[in-house]
Amino acid sequence: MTMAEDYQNALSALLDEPVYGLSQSEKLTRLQAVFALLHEHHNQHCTAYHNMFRQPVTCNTPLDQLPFIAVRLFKLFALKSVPDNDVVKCLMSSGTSGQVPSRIFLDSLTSRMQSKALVKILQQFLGKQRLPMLIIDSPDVKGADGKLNARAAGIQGLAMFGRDHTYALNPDMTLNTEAISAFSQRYHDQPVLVFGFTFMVWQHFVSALKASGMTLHLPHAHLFHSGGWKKLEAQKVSNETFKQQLLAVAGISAVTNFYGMAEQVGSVFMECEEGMLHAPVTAEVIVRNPYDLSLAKTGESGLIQVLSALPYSYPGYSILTEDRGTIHGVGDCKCGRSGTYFTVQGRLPKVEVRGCSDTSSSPGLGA
Amino acid sequence: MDKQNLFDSVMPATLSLDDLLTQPPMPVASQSILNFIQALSDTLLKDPACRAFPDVVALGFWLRDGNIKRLVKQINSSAQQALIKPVGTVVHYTPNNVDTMFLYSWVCALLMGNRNVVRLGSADSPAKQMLLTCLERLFSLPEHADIAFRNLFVQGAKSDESNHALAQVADARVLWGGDDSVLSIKQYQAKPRCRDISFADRYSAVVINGDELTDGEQLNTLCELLWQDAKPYAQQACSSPRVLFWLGDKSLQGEFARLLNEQAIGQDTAPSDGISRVNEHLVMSQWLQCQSLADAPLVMNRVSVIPVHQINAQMMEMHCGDALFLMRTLDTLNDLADCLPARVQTLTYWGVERDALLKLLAEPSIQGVDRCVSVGKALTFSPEWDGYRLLVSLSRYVQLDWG
Repeated sequence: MTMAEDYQNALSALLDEPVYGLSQSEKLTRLQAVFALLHEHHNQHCTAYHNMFRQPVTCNTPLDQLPFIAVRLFKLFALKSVPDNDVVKCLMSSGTSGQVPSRIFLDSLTSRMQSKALVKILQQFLGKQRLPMLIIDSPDVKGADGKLNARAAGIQGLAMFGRDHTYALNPDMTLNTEAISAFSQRYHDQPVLVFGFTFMVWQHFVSALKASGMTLHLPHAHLFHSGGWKKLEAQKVSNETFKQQLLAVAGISAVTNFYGMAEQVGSVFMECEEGMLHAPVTAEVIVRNPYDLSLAKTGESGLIQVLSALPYSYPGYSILTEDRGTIHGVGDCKCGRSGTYFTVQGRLPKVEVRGCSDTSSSPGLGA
Repeated sequence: MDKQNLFDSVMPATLSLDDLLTQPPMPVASQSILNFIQALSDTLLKDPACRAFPDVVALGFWLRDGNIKRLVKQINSSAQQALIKPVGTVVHYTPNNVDTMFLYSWVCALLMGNRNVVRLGSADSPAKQMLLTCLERLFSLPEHADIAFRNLFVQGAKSDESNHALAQVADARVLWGGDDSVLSIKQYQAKPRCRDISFADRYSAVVINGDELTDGEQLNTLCELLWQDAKPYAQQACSSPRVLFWLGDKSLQGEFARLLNEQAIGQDTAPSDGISRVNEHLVMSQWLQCQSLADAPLVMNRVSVIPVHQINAQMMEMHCGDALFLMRTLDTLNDLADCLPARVQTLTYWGVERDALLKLLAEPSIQGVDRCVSVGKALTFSPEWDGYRLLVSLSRYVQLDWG
């Protein structure tokens, strides 16, 4: 068998396991085998990866000794491990204006596996039936050029769980009150799926509803949101406030946050009833001391490293993020799910450009 | 027009730009100038509040009487068959975060009798605030009134109008802040004979001779001195070495990296600072390794030392400082000739024979290096800085020939 076939078999077998059911030792053994194959594959097919990580990796290499790539490298280089012809999709991270976005190249295998993994994870929360879906975004979010920004990719990823996809916002990010009211009236007595990015939900849905004085009644809705709390933290909005306000303005009581990134679509970390993020069967999380990148202890905050069995077409199976988090335990969360569970504390502070090459700013120039 | 409205705030508060221009400059190194500098030095060295800031103390030390007298002697010796006079009004554009550096150039301009306008950066820091408080106190004393009338510190001078006004009054401009700042300030036209002293983007390097290095005491001393050069301003000053050329025997490179890291950790007063540092170093290191420009770091901790196969401009642009050293191994000193482009400001050295170094630096093809000092002195200010001779540039030389 070829290495590619070995990998596909191992991954498929992993995807057949319960999402939150494997014992940690069994899961680690299985993941180590997959990562050894991925290391070999990227080593052979991605020069940049080969240049960075010469150390041998075997199926006995513990996860914390695997090489990890700084997430910013995906902004600095076009990293891929398959021929250009095999690339079917390019994901772009949501770089704020002026920032270079990450570029993630997907072949049909990785793209398919991402969907499969995501489906498995979300079905744990949603069941198998497709639900009417309200998307807290504008229909314009979809780019036309085949390159997907992270928001569009996220929406596309979840859209397969829904039907009657309804966009809640107009192209100018104002509430599409007509569409929302119609949706709310039609589906107020049945389960619906609501999805949006955390900040969009807060700013353009919750706050906008409040400002307009309009309230919705979607008591059977389940909201999923992701994208990080950075902007909400700046506004001093906690997870609790977020949930309270959603209940108040839209009657939505089921709210699930998840942690994921454009650089590792598919293996997302879902928040449980206890407020803990859980590693699914295809992924693991490690926290490192931000001062020397050594392993942090359980309960200690540090830099989050995410590992996923899915990235085959690009060398992103082990990524050191710029997010800070804390692992709280393995397998003993009160929610009953197995695996590592953790929380996220926000992003690393931006490094100031300082020193000689930074005067008191541009002197105006009328700009 | 009352030009005071051009700025958010000025110090001394009662002085305007117009007022300043009505005062004639002072004689070069006049007694009242020397008294003021002496008083400033005393304040910085004796005020307990200043002791928390090593670079402020260093400034106070540099301003002490003996050092200034030495400069005055230097000025006088250049005044044979000549008169040395102030240029008039010097406008200083200060960098944002290298808090004390601009005060050195201001003192040089002051010593030469000039009127000064110092445009302060928008960023605030405790050291900068404290320096300004000290200056304000001294300016308010009657014995320093003639200094206070001729020196204006302005904040919030970002509008087009204020920048035009500053450019138009300048007989000399001291432009800190690197390429972008220098170029954007130069867009404001100054008088045709205005002299610009431009501190552009530069970087500095250290050359270490591995053949002359022994383990133990010597290696320790080297690390201590090198860290003196790199620690202040988080390695952001142009004079702090960011590149490390290692000549000859490589056997102590690993131990050197380990000890330098230890030295840095040992000197940390607030170890929780710099939570983003190692990640930045990791990005740099992987960025280099990805392109086969570097090997795995010798150390990546409080300090990072990355062995590189070459030094290029793009690398230096990516270099984020904050205890990051790119180490380039060279066989002989002669190989250094190709590694000193115009951007290199200061070259510090260890264990390198002076004559050989001198011979190399004299090579006309070498465009870089405006200062060459031993390790540990990279940040020691002198009026000869970044290729400029400030006391000369900030004064007029009146040639005399009575023959």
